[in-house]
Amino acid sequence: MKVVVIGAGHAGIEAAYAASKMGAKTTLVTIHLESIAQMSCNPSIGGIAKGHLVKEIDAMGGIMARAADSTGIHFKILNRSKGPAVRATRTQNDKVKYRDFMKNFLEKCENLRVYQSIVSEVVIKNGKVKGVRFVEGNELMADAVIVACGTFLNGKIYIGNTIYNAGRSNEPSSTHLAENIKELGFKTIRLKTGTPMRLHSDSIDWENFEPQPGDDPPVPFSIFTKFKVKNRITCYLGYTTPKVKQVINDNLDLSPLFSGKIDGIGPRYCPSIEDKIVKFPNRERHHFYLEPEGLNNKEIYANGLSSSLPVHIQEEILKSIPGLDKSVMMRPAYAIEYDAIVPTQLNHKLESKKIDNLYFAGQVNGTSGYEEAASQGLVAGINAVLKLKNKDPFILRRDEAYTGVLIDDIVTKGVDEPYRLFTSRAEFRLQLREDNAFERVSGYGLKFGLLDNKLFAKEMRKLKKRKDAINKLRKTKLKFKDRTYTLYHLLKMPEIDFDKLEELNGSKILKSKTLTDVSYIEANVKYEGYIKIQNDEVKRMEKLERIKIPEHIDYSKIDGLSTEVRQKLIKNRPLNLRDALKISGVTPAAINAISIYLTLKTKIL
Amino acid sequence: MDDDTIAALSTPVGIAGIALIRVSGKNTLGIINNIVERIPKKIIPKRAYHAFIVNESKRVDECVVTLYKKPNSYTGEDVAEISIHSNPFIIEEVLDLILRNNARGALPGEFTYRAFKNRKIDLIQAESVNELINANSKYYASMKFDNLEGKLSELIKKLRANLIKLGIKIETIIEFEEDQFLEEIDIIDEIQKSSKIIEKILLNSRFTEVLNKGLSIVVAGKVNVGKSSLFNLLLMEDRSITSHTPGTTRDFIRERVYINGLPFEITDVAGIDKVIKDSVEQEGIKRTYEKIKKSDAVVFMLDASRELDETDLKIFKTIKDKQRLIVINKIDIANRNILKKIRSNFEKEKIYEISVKENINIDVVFSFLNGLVNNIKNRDINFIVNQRQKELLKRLEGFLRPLVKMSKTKESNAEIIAEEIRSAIKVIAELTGNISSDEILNGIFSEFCVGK
Repeated sequence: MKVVVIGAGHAGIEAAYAASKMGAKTTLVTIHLESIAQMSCNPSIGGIAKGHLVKEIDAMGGIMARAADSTGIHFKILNRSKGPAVRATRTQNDKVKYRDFMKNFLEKCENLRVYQSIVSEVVIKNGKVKGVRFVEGNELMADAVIVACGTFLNGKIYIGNTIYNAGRSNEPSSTHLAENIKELGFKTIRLKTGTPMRLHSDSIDWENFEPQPGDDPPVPFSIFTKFKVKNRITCYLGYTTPKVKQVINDNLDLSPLFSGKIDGIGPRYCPSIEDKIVKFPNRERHHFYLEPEGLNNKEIYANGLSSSLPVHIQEEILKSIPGLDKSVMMRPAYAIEYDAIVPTQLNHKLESKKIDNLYFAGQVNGTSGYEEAASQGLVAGINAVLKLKNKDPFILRRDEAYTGVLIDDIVTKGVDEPYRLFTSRAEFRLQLREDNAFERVSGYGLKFGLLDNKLFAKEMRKLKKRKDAINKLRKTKLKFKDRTYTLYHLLKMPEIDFDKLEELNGSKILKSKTLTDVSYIEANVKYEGYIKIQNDEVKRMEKLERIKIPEHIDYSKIDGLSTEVRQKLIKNRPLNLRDALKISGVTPAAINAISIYLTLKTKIL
Repeated sequence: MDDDTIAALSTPVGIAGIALIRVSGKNTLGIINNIVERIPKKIIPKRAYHAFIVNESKRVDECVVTLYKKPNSYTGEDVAEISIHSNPFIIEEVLDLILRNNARGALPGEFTYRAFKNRKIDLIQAESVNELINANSKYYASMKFDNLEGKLSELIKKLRANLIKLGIKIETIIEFEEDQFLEEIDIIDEIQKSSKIIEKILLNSRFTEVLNKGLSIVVAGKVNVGKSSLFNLLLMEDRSITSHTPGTTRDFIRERVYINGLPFEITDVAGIDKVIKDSVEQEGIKRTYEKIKKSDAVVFMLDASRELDETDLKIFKTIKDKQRLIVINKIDIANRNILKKIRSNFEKEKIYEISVKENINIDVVFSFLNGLVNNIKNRDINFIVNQRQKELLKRLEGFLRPLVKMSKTKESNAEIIAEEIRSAIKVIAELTGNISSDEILNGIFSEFCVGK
């Protein structure tokens, strides 16, 4: 059982680790050994919806969360004041340490070889993967290949009028593999993303910016982490000025984004500074964050100032911002254009529908973000081995994990811009929380041997403690505003949170409590009614999903569909009723009509 | 789709003395327990119980309830048949009550569809189900608002747009905490806008009223002009008269007639004469004028054989702001001069010459009534959709109402508010089609400068 993983970024690492841990002889190929797990954009892991993914990866035994804790220098829970479902962890990380951590981790893994080379070709015979060929000419036989090459397929960097081929700043792109993937018949889409300039810390006048300290106390990501995490740096918030707006407006023609040189579609949630200024002309200022890239490192990541303007214009922009006016640029901002494969060519295992045992994971599938990549890597790695072992595939449902939402979205709908996960993409948001990630998905980690029994048992005890506490709430009564309530009932009230409840109770309900404990208890009590409704919905969706729509269905034969709905169905060709309902503009009544049609057809024939 | 509980009125509205409401699905027994009083805890199936419907411990109506246990029922599910008095207000209240107890309004043909799915009817009967579905198509087609002009569809579109906006705002608050303009986002204003639209639709929807009472048409004219003959002719033309409601006073007679599927209540008012002899008659005439005032439309009859008089002019005055048809009857025995005089007196009016007795030109009356039906249909689509719309809008209102208070209290409610808004969006989606999360995300990106 041999597996080759192409690319040692965030997807490739998880894929290779999972595959090797599950018993496959695994080779992880990277263009450059020193840049394993490179954070090529922002120096942070997690965030809203992304933190959720990291927790899921962690609960299944993946590496990302551990690495984030071990190399974390700033810890923050976002949406802290909002409800538990949307609370999310984010760390700022030391980029160099992150790379080192991952490299060391992988080097120590059994069954895993990390290998520096460039893959030029995936060797295919009779529609099946046979291995890979390297640019040096040698071949490596494998039973499964996972392509996790990020932005390296035909990567092209743009800074003003300067354009050069690269997978990442100053690293070669893989044009051979890109050619090969096209030859194998994969459809690709051209995408674009960008990264801001890095500034020298000593050249910034910090007085001008608002400090954004980490949480006190900082909360770690991983259930593996046994040490106390610590905040070691502070981030800063700043604003652009009207002068910046003017500089950009005066030089728009120098931006390859606006002069039409870049055809790739960029992510709207990560706009360049020139994008923001053009799209929102009424805003006089835009905010940005200054984030240190590490401890023994003077580079500051100017989060919010990504750009593809020429370097001298970037410098002029900096000069127009008080506090950055004397700043020294260490690396310029750039835009990068790359090929991604159209992900609808994959099944839910992330395996090519056409070529057996060939998997794709990460940014190459048109997603963006380290976390999105890592979760796909994990799923692809697990499935590659499961298939070789003749076992049932591993597919996470939409109501079970954000990972499931992400994969289902891209393989059924495809992407038209770099896909980023948002909590609003989840139909069952109240169920998919960080605080219950362990409860939701750790069973898989255990089953696949990625999570050891001891740790699992320890976390199960913690889970039991939370559940016991909830039972206690049901039994304990308390007088509040002249009426007697159970603590459970009191906690349901919007104005009462767990801390307030303990205060009313006069004594602690939990001896020691973590944010996870509190969130878990609050969520299970406060969301109870909603979760019941959502569970019914889950069942209904499952039912709809089971009703398959034949590939060659003639929608014109179905009475009761409006022309508009009919056209949408013809265009999207949903595979089942659930997918049909997901299409914008399709009514439940239309679903009913199709369902009636299908029932009649099967029962009468 | 099929595991929820559905309910609908099974008898036509307002026609019979008894209305039958049918409920089917797994919540059936729960609904009966919740809304029926004086019924034993252990209900024996297929036995009729005389009991009372209660709403918040107030008795709404007496009823007869029969329960059929699954699979021994029409649909193969638990079914209850509830007979109540056929008063439109009672029917509405009872239906509302059932729907609020975890049921939804049945789609046309849905009971039969369920019967079919549960193999309660066989393959041969499936043919008839097919027909039902074809009948449904009219309903589904009318669900498509895009091609329909008119106020209602416009308002529903507006409501949809508003709810999307609301979704965009709340999701932005959740997804982009660190973007520095969240305080600019006001969702309360947006909630109130949506509530106002719903209120407006519910108020404007005169449809149920029309459905329940019929369009009220008054045949007016002086004594002996031929009103009664026309009235009888209309009744004869329509063979679907199902009830006969004599007027509550001796001053007028009402009949319900179905034209184009819509009920009309045609009133033959007492003849109006200028010579009023006694106070009883005076009272009758007063009522007649009131009746005219309250009607939806008037057929005003003039006499081609008699001189125009004060009564005619007085009646004309009262119908000036009404939808009306003016006819000159007895054209078979017309006096030319009189005819001329009448015409010159109502120069601006379109007047038709007819003879009820000789059946001349009677079609104008029918096309007038047909026109009224079409107006209604154009304005309010068809009434099945409308009942459903009303139900959906009420449900929608139910989601929105608590939101204003919730949004005022605390930020910690954001994801719950978002959940309520999602539910509201799902309701509007039943009328206008699904709203995908992409649509919301697109909105976020075009409306707010989010992302770093």
